[in-house]
Amino acid sequence: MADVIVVGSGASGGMAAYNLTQKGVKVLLLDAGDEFDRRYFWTHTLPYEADGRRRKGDAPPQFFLDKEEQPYLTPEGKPFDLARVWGRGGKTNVWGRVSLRMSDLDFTAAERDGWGIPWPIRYADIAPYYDRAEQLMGVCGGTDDSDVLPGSRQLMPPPAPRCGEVFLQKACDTLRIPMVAGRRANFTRPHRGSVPCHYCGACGDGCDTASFFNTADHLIPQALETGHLEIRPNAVVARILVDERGRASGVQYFDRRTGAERQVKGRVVVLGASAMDSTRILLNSKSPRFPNGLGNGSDQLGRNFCEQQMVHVRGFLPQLFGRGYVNDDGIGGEHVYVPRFNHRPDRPKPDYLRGFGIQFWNTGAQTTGADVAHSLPGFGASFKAAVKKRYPALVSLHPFGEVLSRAENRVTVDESRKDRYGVPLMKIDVGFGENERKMRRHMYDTCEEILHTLGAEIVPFDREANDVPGSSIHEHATCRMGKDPKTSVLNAFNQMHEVANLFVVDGSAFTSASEKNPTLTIVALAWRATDYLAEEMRTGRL
Amino acid sequence: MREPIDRRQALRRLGAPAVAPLFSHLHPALPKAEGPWKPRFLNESELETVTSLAERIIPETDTPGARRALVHQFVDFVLAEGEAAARERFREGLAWLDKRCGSLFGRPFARLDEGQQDEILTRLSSSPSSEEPAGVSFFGETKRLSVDGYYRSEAGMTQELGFEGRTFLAEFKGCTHPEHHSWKVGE
Repeated sequence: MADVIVVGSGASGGMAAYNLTQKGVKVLLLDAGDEFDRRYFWTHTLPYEADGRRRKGDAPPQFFLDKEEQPYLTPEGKPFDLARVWGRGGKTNVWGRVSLRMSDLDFTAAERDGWGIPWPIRYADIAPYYDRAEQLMGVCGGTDDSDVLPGSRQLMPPPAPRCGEVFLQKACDTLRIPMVAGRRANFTRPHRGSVPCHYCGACGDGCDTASFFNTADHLIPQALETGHLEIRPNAVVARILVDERGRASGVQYFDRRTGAERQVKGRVVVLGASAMDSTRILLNSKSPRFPNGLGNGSDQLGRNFCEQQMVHVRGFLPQLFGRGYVNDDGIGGEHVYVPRFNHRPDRPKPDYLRGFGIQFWNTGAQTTGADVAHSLPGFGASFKAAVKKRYPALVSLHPFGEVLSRAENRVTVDESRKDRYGVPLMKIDVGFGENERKMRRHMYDTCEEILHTLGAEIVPFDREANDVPGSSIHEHATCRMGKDPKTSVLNAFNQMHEVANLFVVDGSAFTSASEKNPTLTIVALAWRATDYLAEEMRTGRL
Repeated sequence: MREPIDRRQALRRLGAPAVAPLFSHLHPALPKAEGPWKPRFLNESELETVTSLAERIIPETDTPGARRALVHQFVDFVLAEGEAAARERFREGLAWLDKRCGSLFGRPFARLDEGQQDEILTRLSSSPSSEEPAGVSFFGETKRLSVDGYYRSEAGMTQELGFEGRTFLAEFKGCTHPEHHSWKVGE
């Protein structure tokens, strides 16, 4: 019997396993997949080489889970795009690496605008864990410090801005829009036994030198070294088992290769299976004592879904037309970031709640010319010349805005539809609302303003367009933390109100989404929760 | 953008395949195809049409065009690996094009001279187009595939656009152009 069963090996489960084993706790880690073998990564495979290899039947590791293997349901006309990585390290293998601290502007939002329930923690509660998480994760960034994005002394130096980013900075300065160095968990210095980032920009295919933070390289091996960690790969968890006292007693899972059912016992269970899958597992953990799912006496489990919405505006800077190729790869993704500014006193009061920051994914020649060519009309020699002229001049603006948490945006399980193991499928019923629509308008306006300031050629876009929900890959709040057990599922330490020996440490624990990418906060919260858990175990309360 | 941007694709950055992930498990050593290239989906006449269409969309200039970049092979591969419905739609589009060229010029697309080929493509690519929606969307799909095939090819990336990235750099210098740093808004 394990001291602690951890479900999932990504940002949250990986951190839980790491922290607990460092403290001498025996951990059994159940992972829905297996290791991704670095020898077969296609990190430096150029697109044409990749095409050639594919035509010969070769393929890189498939990080993202095939939806046919593990389906989920959505209501007619309400699509949801769920990205899952089942395997060692989870989504940290391919994540965007943006590492932003949340601030009291986020943690106190509900108190100030009345939407949703308050977070049970404040910035001061998590700040020491942000410090430790940034050190561990090798986050780079600048010296900025604001009410939106608290400063940090832990950061590695940021990479220099690209040409296009130099111009974007000037536009933002003119418009009094804040722009700071991006914060990303790419190592710009040697870190944790890895060489620094080599600026190939291909992070999304998995890093062949492990030079950005991912749990498969930077937490799990260290946890294994303690001798306290056992990993069980290909263990697709179905339910949490409960004893007669209503405490978690173990986990039921299915072997992904054989389909065989297994049960393991543990003193404590920590769920870090990602927001949607942890919620699915809890909803499927029904018993006479917990007829609506485990820890769901409040009827809040599965409800209150929130995430981020994005819009995408691209333009070409005439200042960079026809200048020829410059290597813009950098650390992959933008080197700059616009923190939220709509709340500033010198700004008109927005007609919506919460806010957005702006990311800039691709600048200049970071992509193939295909991205440019797809946005230009026509054909023939003039088309070809137009592509070449604009290739180095691309800037792309991607505001990320907070989607409000709403009770009716929810995950349920459908007893009549089963997966390959006979376990009920989850149904995701999510839609954006009026607040999101108004915010998108401001997001589009801001992008246009920035591009107009530079005299940019704006690629025509549809102002009514929005991504399919789920596209941000930042799902939250379906198992939210809060002070009041009537309106929340977890307490301030990610511990279930109704089941003291069950912790949920992934993004589902968030009370609201904020506009910030969540992984740094997930790691910090999982660290804090497992510090608390280890102490509870040491003192015998658990 | 006409096409939605997929964050998963964006995260992959360069090398994002134009086709969906094709294999469900790691198979680093599947049997390799042998012998000269043969199309898997397109028949001989369709292949000829696709080759000339792609070449008119991205012609040879001082750098190779679609034909020398083997865009037709890419198109055949993507169609063969893609959904059956999309494949059949593409085939119907090819038939539509030849029929339309027959009524306009009395010959199928691949038998037209370049001026006539450009004329039908101009009709299809102008906005709004007076051509049938089926033809317009077929042109859009062909252009999309041609662009993906060409600008992902070695000729398109290196000879046409001079790409030298996705490599190992000891240092990333960023923008080193004084004229960019001294530029002022309004100039």
